[in-house]
Amino acid sequence: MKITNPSLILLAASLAFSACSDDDSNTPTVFNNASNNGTNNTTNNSNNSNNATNNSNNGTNNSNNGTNNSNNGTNNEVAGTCSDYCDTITQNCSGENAQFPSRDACIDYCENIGAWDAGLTSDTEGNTIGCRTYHAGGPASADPATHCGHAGPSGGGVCGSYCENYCQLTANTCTGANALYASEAECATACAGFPSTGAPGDSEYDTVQCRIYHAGAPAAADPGLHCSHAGETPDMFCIGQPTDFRFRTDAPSAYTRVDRMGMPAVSTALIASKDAYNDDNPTDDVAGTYVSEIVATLNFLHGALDTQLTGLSLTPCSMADANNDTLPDCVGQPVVANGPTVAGLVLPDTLKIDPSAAAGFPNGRRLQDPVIDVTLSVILLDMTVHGPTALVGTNPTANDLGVEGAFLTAFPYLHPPHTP
Amino acid sequence: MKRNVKMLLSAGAVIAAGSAAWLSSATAADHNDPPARIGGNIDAADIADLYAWTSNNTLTMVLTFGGPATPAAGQAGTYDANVLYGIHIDNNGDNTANTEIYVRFAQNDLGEWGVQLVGLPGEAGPISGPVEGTINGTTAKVWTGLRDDPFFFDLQGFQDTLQSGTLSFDNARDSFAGRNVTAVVIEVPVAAAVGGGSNLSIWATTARI
Repeated sequence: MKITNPSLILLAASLAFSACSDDDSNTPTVFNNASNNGTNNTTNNSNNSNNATNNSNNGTNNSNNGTNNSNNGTNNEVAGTCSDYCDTITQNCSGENAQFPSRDACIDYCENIGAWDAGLTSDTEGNTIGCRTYHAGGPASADPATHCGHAGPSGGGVCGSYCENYCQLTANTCTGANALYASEAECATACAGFPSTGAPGDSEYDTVQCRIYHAGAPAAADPGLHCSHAGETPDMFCIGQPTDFRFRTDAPSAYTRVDRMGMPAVSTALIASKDAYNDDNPTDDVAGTYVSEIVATLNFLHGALDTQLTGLSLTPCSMADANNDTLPDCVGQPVVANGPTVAGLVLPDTLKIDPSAAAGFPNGRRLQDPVIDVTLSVILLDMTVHGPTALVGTNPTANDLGVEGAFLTAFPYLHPPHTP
Repeated sequence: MKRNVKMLLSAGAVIAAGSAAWLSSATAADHNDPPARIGGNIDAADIADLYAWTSNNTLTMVLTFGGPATPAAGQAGTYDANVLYGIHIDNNGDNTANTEIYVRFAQNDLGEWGVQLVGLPGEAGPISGPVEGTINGTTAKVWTGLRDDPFFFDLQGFQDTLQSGTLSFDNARDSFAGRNVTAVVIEVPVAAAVGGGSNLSIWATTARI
């Protein structure tokens, strides 16, 4: 941006102020003075708005600024040079604020990759060497974290818009078979859709900054490899956002089974071959694979507990096949008259729901259902004498949190976690 | 189904109870099972409980895992990006799933955990979002995160009963009181889950890669 009209100089100065003030709102005057003119114009604050555009780093030219800087607009115009730019940015932008791996890399980028217009070292905006030299000077010296990005390859949204930089860069580095766009207008249209949420120099995520990085030195070195990272739909790197969750995409068949559950306590309490059971599926259950284990477990329980149950005036179910249906009565008995049998409920090991009937275990399982006591009732007691809730009260009958009720009335129903 | 059971039993498969291998590791519902794989640790692949019920045309499914956890300061849910949760729904009585809901957890580059569900009845595609919050699909609703373990049961009494042969339950002793668990809570329309069938059979699996 070449500026000779004094009124435009003032405008440019105000633009410079706004360009950097978002990041540095309480110090622009300070860096304009201190960075550009050293101690010369500290007595001339009323005029120093011009300094921002005029005296970027002309250490040898502004010896008289203190008294004369309103006229600098025509005195100190210096064209940007890669040599001057790279000296300045190498000095002021180092460490984590470095914009190039070396001064030589800076020269190469400035001359061949970015191939920016020279501009003037007084330029505060525009995709020029001069603008970058300006921001790499006093501003970067005062606040490198903010201003080195403006001086770097992408221009930081200040030395040219990101899309100006991007489209000039891709037209320069990705050509021929590697060309990303047929025209500058096509590039501008595509670029307008890129998020600019990254930071200058970013090498990942779906941002214009990332595309500028990959279209820069990497694409210049090997366009066949790197231009594809920088286009409208990058093949890698410039995709996604840091907030994206990176879920595995393996097919379910690629995973190895660990656990299986349907009805409460069936696998845990009634099955001995736990690994095999957890690896199997309901179709294996109904094939009868685990009937012998379940019957064995029930035989053990009845052998141990029936005398005590009788002593409590309860009637145990029989592990004999009294009704001659080939199943032990404890397994073959209906849970309620004309309802499903015990065997039918636990084999297959699934929760079974008839949506047209009242909810409540064993018609599904609600949070508040006393499932263990119901299960104990139906496997231990004679369901022609007792009901499936006969043993409810053997164990606790409600969740431990009672202040708000055992469960929340609204989704997600479970109480917030306990704290230490 | 029942015929198969009968056939197997009539073939003389009933065996006498002797040493009961299931005794030493028997716990509640499904916590800490299978023991050879879980080893008593808090494990994201260890299913604690599965709940499912219908109410007002809504099917609610709750899968809990990674419990029972003793509360700790700053405690988060137990998440593992390498574990696949399956909630399988059979709606035509053949004990093979017609609907398979798969749940995966993963972090983003900021270290935050999120959850993804594919195959939800009534949803055309996957839905995902951060844990510890409600995620709304077209008609489905999902919440995942750390919660009070909703299960209640005298686990010690159960184990004592099995080992001593004496009824030893105490209905004032809830082994899951004061414990936390990680939960996936899902609500979908009953009609979407039932499809062309009528009744539902639901089971859950975990798998690891």
